[in-house]
Amino acid sequence: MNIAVITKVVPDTEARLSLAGDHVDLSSVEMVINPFDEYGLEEALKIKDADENAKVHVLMVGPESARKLVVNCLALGADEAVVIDDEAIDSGNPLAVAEVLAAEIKKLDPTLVFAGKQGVDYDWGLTAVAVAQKLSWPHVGVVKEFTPDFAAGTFTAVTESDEGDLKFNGSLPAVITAEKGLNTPRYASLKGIMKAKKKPFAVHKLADTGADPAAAGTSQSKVEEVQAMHPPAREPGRIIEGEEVLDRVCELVRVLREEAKVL
Amino acid sequence: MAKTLVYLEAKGDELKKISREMMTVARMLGESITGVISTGSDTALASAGKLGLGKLVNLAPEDSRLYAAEAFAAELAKLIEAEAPDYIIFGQTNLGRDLAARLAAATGIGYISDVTGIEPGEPPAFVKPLYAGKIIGKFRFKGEPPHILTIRPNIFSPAEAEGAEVSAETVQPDYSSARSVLTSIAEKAAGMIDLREATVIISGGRGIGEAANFQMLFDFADKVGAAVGASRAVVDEGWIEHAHQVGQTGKTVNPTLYIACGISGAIQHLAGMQTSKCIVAINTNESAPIFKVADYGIVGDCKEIVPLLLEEILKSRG
Ligand SMILES: Cc1cc2nc3c(=O)[nH]c(=O)nc-3n(C[C@H](O)[C@H](O)[C@H](O)COP(=O)(O)OP(=O)(O)OC[C@H]3O[C@@H](n4cnc5c(N)ncnc54)[C@H](O)[C@@H]3O)c2cc1C
Repeated sequence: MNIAVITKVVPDTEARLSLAGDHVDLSSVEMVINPFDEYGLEEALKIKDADENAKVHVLMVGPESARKLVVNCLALGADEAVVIDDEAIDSGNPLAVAEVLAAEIKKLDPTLVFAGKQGVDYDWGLTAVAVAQKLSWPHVGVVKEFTPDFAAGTFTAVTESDEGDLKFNGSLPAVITAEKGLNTPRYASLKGIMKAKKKPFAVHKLADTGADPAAAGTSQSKVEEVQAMHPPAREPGRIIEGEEVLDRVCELVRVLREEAKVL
Repeated sequence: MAKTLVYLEAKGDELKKISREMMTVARMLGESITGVISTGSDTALASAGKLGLGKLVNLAPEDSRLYAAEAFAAELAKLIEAEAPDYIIFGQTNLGRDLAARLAAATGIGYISDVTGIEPGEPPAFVKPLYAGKIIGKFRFKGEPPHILTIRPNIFSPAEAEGAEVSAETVQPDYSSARSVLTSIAEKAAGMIDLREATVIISGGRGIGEAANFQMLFDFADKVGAAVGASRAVVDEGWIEHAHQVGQTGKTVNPTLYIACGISGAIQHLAGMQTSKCIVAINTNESAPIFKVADYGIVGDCKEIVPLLLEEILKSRG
């Protein structure tokens, strides 16, 4: 049984971002694996823990320079990795990225595809859903509990909503996108790190994938980023002073009512 | 005259606030509005009919088939074909974002998610936070309509009902081809306010001291009418469920008042709450970064301050 995990790299969540002209300049920013993808990978590895015949494949559309981060996925326990690095791919367009990923996934004929619920860069939340659509598979998004039944070819998945927990029933194969809380991602062991160096790692060009070059290319995007800006800084606030704690609390309640008018 | 289609949401018998927020956005973008909803409640359906829609369609849920992205996207695609809307508007809620994405994927229609602002113009520009709010991005749709967007809750003011009343047409979605179906909803305990819709949030971090002290925040929330938030540190400690986490890997919230108790103000936490209208920080360390974004701060022990604050707020309300 094959399981695919799709991932991408995003700026480190600690990073400060600067602008070059009208867009963000990521050239000197430290990148990391998208945090939500770590939960997708862990869910795949849990299945592999329980079934030694399961193989976990990590797929990423992104720069080959992110190799170290993908190798770390192998160190955690994934079996193989493919990075698709080609300037001809419109990597900012989720539908173009999904076209490429779906083509690679078809070759693996997996039972499950896991991804993070969204990239913490543009938060489109579209790529994995579009992979499901292109494969003509079902998906469940933002999953916090996942229970597959491989013998029956079915699964249940729970997502949270403002109404309460939503329970989905579905059939495999399927695309599942992970919410934090789905599991607790493991750390790489020394042994895992040593083994990772010998695991298959391929770098593909668009032509290697079998994807439709037009659908993956740059002329398809229906959304254009006009400008990126820094948000206006918040006005500096003030520390409420006062002799006793109670004085400070009373003063706080007064300003919340009279100045801020939020109580 | 631009036409819009809004995907309304109800919770039990009530329309969600986001539904009225979508109406505001629909009126900013166009004049004639078609509403789509999926509810088993006649009361919710009647409220939707009074919003000022030109047409209302109910994608009727069945007993154990409440929603299916594939089936709903297929019905919407048909409706889009028939109605030819310029904009299709969803809420950035769990099901709203899910359906918007599947619809965009199925039809290839351009999609902008999590919109927090609209700049009028020909064509209008749509604003959304990027990189967890460190950057604000301005986007435009390219090419011919239709276009899909989801709007972030609690940003746009909810519209008042206006215009003539319409009654709903029922459409039975074809669930037979759907291979992933919402079969049940485990309803939340009554009285729990959703973080994303709350006007007041009181959040606890490691400075709360221990899991049991969260009770103090729940008491506060219960009496003031607030929701309880948390930092990732305490969620990872197991002091409170992930559903309460605020921040980059938790929820993005937008309350009128956000009270951070014993939270240091890490950048990933700020990402989820810095657009709150008024931020109050309670922290023993006067140089905690949270004070940089707070409108008001008290340096002190939150375990002592929160109960006093509750008492004073209740007193002030009389
Ligand atoms: C990829 C990634 C994603 C993340 N996502 C999130 C996220 O979504 N949300 C999030 O919150 N964090 C997130 N984090 C974690 C974040 O970096 C911080 O570690 C976390 O927010 C710290 O939580 P805290 O403020 O409760 O704890 P601490 O940083 O330990 O701060 C505790 C604070 O309490 C104060 N304090 C102590 N005692 C008292 C007292 N008695 N009364 C009042 N104050 C007191 C201290 O002065 C201190 O400021 C993420 C990190 C990473 C790497």
